[in-house]
Amino acid sequence: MDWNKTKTIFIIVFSILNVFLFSLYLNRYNEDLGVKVLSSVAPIEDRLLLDNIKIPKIENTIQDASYVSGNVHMFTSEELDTLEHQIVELKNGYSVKAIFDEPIEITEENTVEKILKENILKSDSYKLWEVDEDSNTATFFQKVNGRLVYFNQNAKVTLYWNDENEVVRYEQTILDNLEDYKESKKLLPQLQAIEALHNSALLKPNAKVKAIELGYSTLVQLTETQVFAPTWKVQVKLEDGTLEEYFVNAVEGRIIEIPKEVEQASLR
Amino acid sequence: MKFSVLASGSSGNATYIENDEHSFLVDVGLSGKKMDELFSEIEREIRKLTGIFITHEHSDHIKGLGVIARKYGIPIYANEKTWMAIDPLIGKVPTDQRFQFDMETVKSFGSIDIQSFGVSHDAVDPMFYVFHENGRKLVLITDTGYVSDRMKGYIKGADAFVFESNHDVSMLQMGRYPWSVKRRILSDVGHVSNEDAAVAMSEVVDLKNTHIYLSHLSKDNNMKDLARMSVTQTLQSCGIVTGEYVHLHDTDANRATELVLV
Repeated sequence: MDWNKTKTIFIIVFSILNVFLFSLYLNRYNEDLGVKVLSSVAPIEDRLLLDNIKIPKIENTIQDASYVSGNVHMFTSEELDTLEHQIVELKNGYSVKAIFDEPIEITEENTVEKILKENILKSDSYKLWEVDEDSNTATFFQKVNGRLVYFNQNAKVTLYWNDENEVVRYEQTILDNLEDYKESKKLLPQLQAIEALHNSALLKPNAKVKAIELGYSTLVQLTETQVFAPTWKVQVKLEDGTLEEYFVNAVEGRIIEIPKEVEQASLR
Repeated sequence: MKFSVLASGSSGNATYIENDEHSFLVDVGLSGKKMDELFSEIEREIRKLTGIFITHEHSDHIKGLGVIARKYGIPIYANEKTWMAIDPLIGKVPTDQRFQFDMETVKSFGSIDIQSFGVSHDAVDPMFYVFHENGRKLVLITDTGYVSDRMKGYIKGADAFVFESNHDVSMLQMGRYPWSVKRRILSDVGHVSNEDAAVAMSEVVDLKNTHIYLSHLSKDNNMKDLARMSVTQTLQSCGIVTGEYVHLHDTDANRATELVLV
């Protein structure tokens, strides 16, 4: 065996292999340089466009808001005595359960809002959240500073009706001693709330953000008091027409996951 | 004896204490410029300080220490391990300004006795101080994961407390801090929550006028109103009604509290 010849062949073969591997490395490196990482570079508007997600016109008119604290209202017998034509039961001092002497028909004129207004204590404090035709219920959430408190079991009214479309009973809780915290907080722009949802893959392609509203979500429950954080509610219409709602803490930008059981309990 | 919490929070801590003869600073957690501003707020001068007492080596307690101590030649007091930890962080301090103050000992400056006691925090040898003068007692206790019975023994019956009320547990748990940081804060060597602080307060306040300054509030996991509300309600559940003889006060990360008599 000619050792010198073998050595030369080895050197040539490995040199060619090295050149080939280096060219492969260079190609890949140059490709990586050329790829634009859209998720971290492109503005949110471009990324939404890429996923065909439509958003409404954003007007950042609300820029500051305070945290709010409040206590669960304990109903007094004097208050309950003012309720007419209904049998009222008070549970644990804070939850009113009432049955109307005569069912009240829901019509185009006599809406659930009107029935609430005419028959329930402090009715001005609530705003309609949802009408569920399947379970024959309408849920109203309490307003604080004109904004809704989302899914708090101590700040809602539920009307129940029968198959004849007549409201037969309701349940009510309410917060009182509502106070703004002294320190007003700068709010996250609405677009950043959308961005937080998009970054978490909660906004699906071809969806349409229908509305963004400011409300409050429960932040802390102390022994007597609850504290509420300013919260963006983002309503999204999916490609199949389904409506979904997401909640983003408007101060920190954290996505608030409302547990299913809390959501269900609040809507009953 | 008078005192003012010049600044309190994770961005910097400093408390000023004085009597007719002496004036002290506990921690210098802000820049020299900011310390100047805070001293102007209470109409005092840094250069007149008798001494600076250091609690531990974390930057929110020593940030301006080197600059101020060198500029004004003020003596610094810390325990041995803390000295070793802060030495590389604060630059050169002349030997005649370096004094050792061992844990659980007392140093006297005229009519003021200053007592050190250990706390549970993730520093080399953290300790805080109790100032005594003519039967009046001022306690500084922040940066501790819990308040032990031993600590309660030192601080019980004070007339004024600068008491940590760091975070609301739910806010911390729901917040965006990484899990490792949350675990550290909630641990025995982290910081005390509003509720835990209030429970400890309920065990150390005597039936006399007591002023409690809620301190070292987390910027992200607490709010002044929330801390006050939470402490008030927890104290109430322990049978103490605030406003009767226990009075709560806020502190601020950037503004000095009024210089008040203990």
